[in-house]
Amino acid sequence: MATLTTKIKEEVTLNGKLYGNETTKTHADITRVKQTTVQVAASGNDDLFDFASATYGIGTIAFNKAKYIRITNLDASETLFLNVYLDLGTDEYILFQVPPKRSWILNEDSMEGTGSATTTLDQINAIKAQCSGSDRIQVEIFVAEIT
Amino acid sequence: MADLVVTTTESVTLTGRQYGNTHEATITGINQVAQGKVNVKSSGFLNLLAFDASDQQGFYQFLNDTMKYFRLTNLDASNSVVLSIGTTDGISTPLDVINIEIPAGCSYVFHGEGAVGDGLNVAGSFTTSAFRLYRLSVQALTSNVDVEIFIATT
Repeated sequence: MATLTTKIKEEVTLNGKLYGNETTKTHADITRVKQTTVQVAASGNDDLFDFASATYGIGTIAFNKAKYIRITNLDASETLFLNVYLDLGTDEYILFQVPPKRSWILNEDSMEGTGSATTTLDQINAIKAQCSGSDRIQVEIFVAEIT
Repeated sequence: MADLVVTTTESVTLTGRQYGNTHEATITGINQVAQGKVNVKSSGFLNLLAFDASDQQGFYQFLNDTMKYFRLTNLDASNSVVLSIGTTDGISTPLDVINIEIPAGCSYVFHGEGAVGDGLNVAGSFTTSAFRLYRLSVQALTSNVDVEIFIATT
């Protein structure tokens, strides 16, 4: 088992004053790490990875085991469209746009898209992707899990 | 106008090999920042920020399509907080609300796209059509927590 250390730092200077912060989080008991770079197309929608109750392959994350998921758009000009797929019997897709060179980070594998604010969340079943433009872009994925 | 530099890093060593990476993004055209710490109760959602077409109101309400970067960090050591992101198409508000759990000590970062909307939607099939931000609200899951927010806009 290992400890994952994650940091997010932002810095901007306005009127001579520095704003921002650096936040650090440690995640204990990490036993599985998946890190890869994949291509994402501008048509259709690619499954980046999915979630399941008992499958632990490279492309599947076990329910409630992911402590840190980062998806980075490595392209310099095109936008990455991520869809978080919640299978509720009626399909539900939640869109997150990731601009060029930016990252999308998640620390829980549950979410809800509905008509009002709620603390009742559902299991994520998959994360799918597509990009703007006409050519494929490169996307880096990093996932750290506990057992 | 100023540049906001955002650096994301993770590092872990498993079976003698180090995994992780560092990514740096420079976000240009920043004119306003707001940074603060607030207490969030577990009884009902607290409205943090709003967005509107016509009027900016202090730290609370920003103009549409100006949000470039938003971070919310859960400062609590053991309890989660739910961030609720409301969206609008300019007609229905809120149109869709996206609810995300942020565990103790963790952060959620959101990048806006400026003039093409803020990049969120809930749909019945795969979508690339984004709505803009309407309102951000939070509720602690079990006990009250403190959160830090940082927002940078054009």
